[in-house]
Order: sequence, then C-alpha cells, then structure tokens
Amino acid sequence: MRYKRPKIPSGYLFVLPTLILFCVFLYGPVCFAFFVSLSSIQTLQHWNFVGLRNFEEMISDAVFWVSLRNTIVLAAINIVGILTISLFIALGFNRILRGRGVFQTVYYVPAVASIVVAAILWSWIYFPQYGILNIVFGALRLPTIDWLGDPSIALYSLAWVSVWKDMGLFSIVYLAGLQAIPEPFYDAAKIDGANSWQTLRSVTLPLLKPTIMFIVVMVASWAIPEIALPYQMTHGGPVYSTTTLMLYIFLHGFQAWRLGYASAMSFALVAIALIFAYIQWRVFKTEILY
Amino acid sequence: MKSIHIKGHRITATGTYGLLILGAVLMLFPFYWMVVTSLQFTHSYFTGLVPSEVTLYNYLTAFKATSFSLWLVNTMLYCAITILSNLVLALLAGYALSRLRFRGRDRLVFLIVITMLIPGFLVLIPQYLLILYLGLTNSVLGLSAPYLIDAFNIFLVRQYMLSIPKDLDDAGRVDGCSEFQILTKIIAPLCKPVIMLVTTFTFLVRWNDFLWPLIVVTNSDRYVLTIGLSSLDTARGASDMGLIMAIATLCFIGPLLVFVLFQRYLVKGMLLTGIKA
Repeated sequence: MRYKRPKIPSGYLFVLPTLILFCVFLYGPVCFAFFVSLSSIQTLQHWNFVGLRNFEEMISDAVFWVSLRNTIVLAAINIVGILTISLFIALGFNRILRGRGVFQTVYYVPAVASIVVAAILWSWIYFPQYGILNIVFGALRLPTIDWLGDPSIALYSLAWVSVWKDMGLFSIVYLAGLQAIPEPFYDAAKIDGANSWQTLRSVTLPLLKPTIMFIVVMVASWAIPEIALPYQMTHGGPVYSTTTLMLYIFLHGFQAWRLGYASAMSFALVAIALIFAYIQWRVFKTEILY
Repeated sequence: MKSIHIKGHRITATGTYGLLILGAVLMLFPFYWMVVTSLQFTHSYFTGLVPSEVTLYNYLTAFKATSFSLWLVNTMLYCAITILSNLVLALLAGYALSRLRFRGRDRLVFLIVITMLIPGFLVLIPQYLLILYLGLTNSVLGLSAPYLIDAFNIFLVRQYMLSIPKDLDDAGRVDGCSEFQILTKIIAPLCKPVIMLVTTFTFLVRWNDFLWPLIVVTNSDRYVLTIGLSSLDTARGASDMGLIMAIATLCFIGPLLVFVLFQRYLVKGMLLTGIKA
C-alpha cells in the first residue's frame, strides 16, 4: 500500500485559507474598530489613546446629528418607496402572460448599472436649467424646481434615484412571493365577493409577509450606509441637507484623516442598523401563518 | 357572463401593459439618453432625444485623452482576481463543509456564516489601516485583499454540493482519488450552475464597487472605472458631457452584457441571497 494517510484531515486544509482571510480582514478588524474609535491617529506610528473623547465629540457635533437624521430619512424613504412601488410592478407582472420575461429584464437593468453611472445620469436629469426633468415641467407649465439645490428637496431627489435603481429588482422578489401563494386563497376571496383591493389587503399582503420582511432587511442594509449618491450628486450639500452618516464618516476619516472620530461614528451607524432591525422585529413579530 | 368577464379582463390587461410600458420607459430612458449623448459632439446639457449627427469622437477621446484604458485594465484585474479566488476558496471550503466529516465542522460553518452579519462600514477603517500598514494602497492587490473570499459564496456552494449524491465521492475513493482529486475531477464539474452564479455575482459587485476603491486608490492611473468616471464627472462636469457619457456607457456595457447573458443564474441566486448586483 503506497497510500499514506495525511496527518491533517483535508477538511481543515480546505477551510484554512478562508479562515486566515476572515481572521485578517473581518474578525480582526471588528475587534480593532473599537480600539480605533478610542484613539486619535495622526500617522500609522502615532496613535494616542483618548478614551471616549471621540464619542463625546460626536454627541456635541451638530452635523453628526443632521447626518444621522438624513440617513434615517433616506433609509425610510427607500423602504417605503420600494415596498409600495415594487409591489405594484410585481402585481402588473403577475397579471400579464405574454412578455413578462422581457419586462422583468428591462426593469432589472438599472440594478446592474454602477451607482456612479446612476448618480451621474440623474444629476443631468435633475439639472435646474437644462435638465430634462425641468424641460418637461416647463412644457407642462409646472413650476421648475431646483432638484438638487433646494435643501428641502435634495434629499428626496437622491432617495428617488436609489428607489428607481432597485425597484425593478425587488419587484422580481415580490413576484416570486406572489407566485408562491396558492390559488385556492384567491378562489375563496372571490367566493366571498371580495373586490381586488380587499383581496390585496386581506389575502395577498398577509401571505407576502416573509417576502416583505426579506425586502425590508435588504433595502435597509443597502440604504443605511449610502454614500455614492450624495458624494457624486451633491457632495452632501446644500448646507448638509444630503450628508449621510457614511459620507460624513468618509469626509472625516479619509479626507480630514480623523480615523478615530470616523470609527466612533461608524458605531453610531451600527446603532441605526440595530434600531431598524428592532423596529422590523416589532412590526413583523407575529407568526407567519399559512 | 363568461364573455363579459373575459372582456373585462382584456381591458385591465391592456391597462396593465400600458402602465408596464410606461414604467419600462422610465427605467430605460436615462440609459437611452446616455448613449445618445455619448454619440454626439456636444457641450450642452440637453440635445434632444434623437441624435442629430452620430460620431464616435467621444469614445476615441476616452481612449486617447483620458486614462480610460488603464482604468479598464485595473477593473478587469480587480474582477478577475476576486472571481478566481472566490471560486477556488468557495469550492474548497464548500466541499469540506458539505462532504467531509471532521471534528468541529459545524462550528466552522457557524464561524463562516457569522461573517455575513459583519457590516462592511464597521470594518472599513481597520481594513484600510491594514492595507496602509502593508503598503498595498494604490495596488490591485490591496484593492482585492478584503474581497478574496465572501462567506455568501461558500454558503451557496455548500448548499449546492449538499444536493449532489455522496456515492460519487465513494466511487472516486474506491478508485484511489485523493479528496482534492474528488473535488476537482468529480464534484466541481457538476457545480457549473453555482460556479456561474458566484462568477456573475462577484463580477457585478466588484465591477460596480465604489467606496473601497475610492478609499484605497488615490493615484489616478490606478483608479478603477467607477472611480475614474466619478473623478472625471466631478472635475469636468458640464464642459464635457459627451465624453463623460461615453465613459459611463463603456462602464455600463460590461455589467449589462453579463446580466443579459447570465440572467437565469442571477435571478435565482438573488432570491436565495439578496446580494446587491
């Protein structure tokens, strides 16, 4: 017998490279993040332990609170917008027989484009004087709007771009949920004389609960660390009205080189994510019954 | 009664098609306009819906007057390295965690799955400090390092491998194959759908990646496409719309092609995992 049993089971060897990478790039950094947030870093060689000073500064930083609010608003608009619009698109998909595949492909297209491409395209569309949106508004005799320059509107303009980008993708998720609903439920509603609105409210939506939960989790986890749209379209302005927390972290950490402070703020971002998770758990905690 | 019902249904069907077409226009119009603008000599914002004179001037300028070709190469390298490494490591780990028995295997599965809960923004700064410490900023290696393996891909491969009958492995063992040979010669060839899925996902996510390249790469010759495009738009803005739209178009073609070609893998996979594509 030339076959020799290896000393280390292959199982360990096969997983080892992955584990090493995870230790270096994920487990390590998670622990390290806390340490960084307690430090002041001038250069790599020059670290100072400053205790909770970064967190104290954060609490008294007015822009931090504004960006916190913007992040929450942006995530909330994304969740509500995508949940409703995608549902109607999916109901449309579900109704038609011919051409469904083509429509699904078309609606998915914005999701595969880079967020930078989407941001640049919509910057032009929103452009106040010559942008297509205001040209259309002008033609319809509607007042033209400074979509990205008006502090009370800019955040909503940005939110629309990410809703536009992802709503097709989530309508496909919805469609999968819709098609998993057994036909007899609808037959029963029909026999009871429910109109289509009642059927939607009392049959479709309750049975879509797992799908809705999935979508809320996904949208929230993408929207909370949003940075590319405000970075590219508004640079956080006007007057911080579109500064998201992630953008503020980026500006502090990588442009002002205040990595300790930026790291402290990323814990605030974690807190937001946890709060969203908690709200979602409260809203959906009733059991899913089929 | 029956005919009325059908008629009523027809009307709503027409209305549904109408609305869906309207939505489709909303989805595609920005891209249509991007391509039209890129094909014209233009220094203005809005030049109409139909191209007046078609020219490839902007595309030639992209190659000649900007570092576009470097950005393209960097992006392709970034994608190639991460795809290759994800495939190899996910196949290895997926194989071990689905088909081999060893002590602590379930604990390892837990350790790997738990990384999916670590938010990227929390580890961003420590990862950057690490890359900085290793002197890997402004390099494709530094760019790829944190993304060499994604737990999602291991999870996908493992789930897929669980559905392949174990008898195949035993047949291989009887013939004297090592575990590695069983993986490469018997199991991996059967994993084509999940390999396609991992490849497509990784490609789309890395090609469109924004924040990490923005941080790690500061030398404009080392930019990836998204960052190059972003910097060009910030620097030139209105003065060079045709050029920016040409580069945006080129940046968009890759993901679009991959999406159209591998759509069936993607949609299925997205429903499974919800990775952003």
